[in-house]
Amino acid sequence: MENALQRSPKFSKLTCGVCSNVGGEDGDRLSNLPEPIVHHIFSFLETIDVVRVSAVSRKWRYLWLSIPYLNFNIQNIWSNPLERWSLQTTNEKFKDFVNWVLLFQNGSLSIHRFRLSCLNRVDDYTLYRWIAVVARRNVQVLDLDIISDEPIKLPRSLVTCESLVSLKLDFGNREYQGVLNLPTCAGFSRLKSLDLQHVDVLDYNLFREFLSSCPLLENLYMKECFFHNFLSLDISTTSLKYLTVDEFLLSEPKGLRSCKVICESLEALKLHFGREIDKCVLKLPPT
Amino acid sequence: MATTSTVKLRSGDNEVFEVEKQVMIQSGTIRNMIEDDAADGEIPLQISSRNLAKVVEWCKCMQHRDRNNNNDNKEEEEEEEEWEKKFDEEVSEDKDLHFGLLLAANYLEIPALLHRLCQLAADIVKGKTPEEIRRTFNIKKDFTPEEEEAVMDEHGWAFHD
Repeated sequence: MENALQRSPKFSKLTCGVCSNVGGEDGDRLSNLPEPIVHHIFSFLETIDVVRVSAVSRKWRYLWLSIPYLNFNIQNIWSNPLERWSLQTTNEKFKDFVNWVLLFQNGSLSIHRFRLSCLNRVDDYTLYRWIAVVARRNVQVLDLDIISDEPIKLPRSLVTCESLVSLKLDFGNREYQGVLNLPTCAGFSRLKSLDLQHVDVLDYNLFREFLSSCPLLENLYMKECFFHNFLSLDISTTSLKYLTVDEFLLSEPKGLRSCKVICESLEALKLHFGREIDKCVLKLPPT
Repeated sequence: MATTSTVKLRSGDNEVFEVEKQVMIQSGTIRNMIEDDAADGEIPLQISSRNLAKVVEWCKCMQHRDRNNNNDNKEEEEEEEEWEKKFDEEVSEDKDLHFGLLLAANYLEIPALLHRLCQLAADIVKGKTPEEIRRTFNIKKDFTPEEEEAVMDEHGWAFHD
């Protein structure tokens, strides 16, 4: 028995250090954790907090430069900024901070997850520059929570980004849904999960083509979205396993009129429409 | 495949835990050993019995929860939530346990446990000043005066709210 265990490579890995009382009884155990665990812990914090940790000790000084999780939220950097600055100044300060972190981080390090919550103004290309930077840095999970003065498009750099596995877009709230301009080129070759919230989608043809061009998409979650003058919401993919459509509750008849779901791999389905629709066709795997 | 339905784990201080394989396959490391037929005897782990007991307890609770996911038993659900809340509190207040479990979950490859423990650690760090972080985790301030000045020069603004 012992011999079999010793031959197992996993066993030798187990014996090589798990018991080492990292940092000793009263020592600094946080600093001595393996780097992936440290990154995992700080992945839950805002990037501003990771920067603040640099004043703790030498070991922590440059954590913010290597951490592959970036979280920027304009509301969480300063307390009550609007009591001191105008919205525009706050926005400029926020942009400055994000630019500064992206400028200093090593551009050859991959970004595991990029979370951004901010404003997008007319004729300001900052958002698209950031997206281009994180796409080039092989972002896997992109989470954008944007209030925008104008429609937001998904830039080509993102659509063709081969590392992207999960994309979440939230463009508003219950009162307001921002417009998403869908890409006209095919892409998202590795995308597995697409989460759209408070998004106003305009073109039902483009939407259909867009979905069918994501070959690995398994999870499509659409919450309180607005399907503007959609003759038909047409979801036909072979890869989709989980589908949720939760249309914004409509007071006027501008939304979905009919719905067609043809998904042979579907495991879970939830449909909720803003008002009564004319037609709903489902073609699902046999139960 | 092995024939028994349990696996024996021996802690670093020689206590043996016999646990259902179904429970322990949440650990990638143990699962691999089971699949490789390398888990028939005792598996010696360099994890203290106290930490190992906690890991096993956590795995049992999670497996129980996953199995019951489909039936709406309110009472059991509340019990499980209560257990998790207690686990969180216990871990957050006991750094020995917290760091021991972090390393154990990492080596045993139990992603959900590791995730939970990392989140609890993040909750402790959140909102603390550098001095408070040093005090909480017993970290020595090892900057030279020059280095400290450099840190404040580089991003002192981040501390002025």
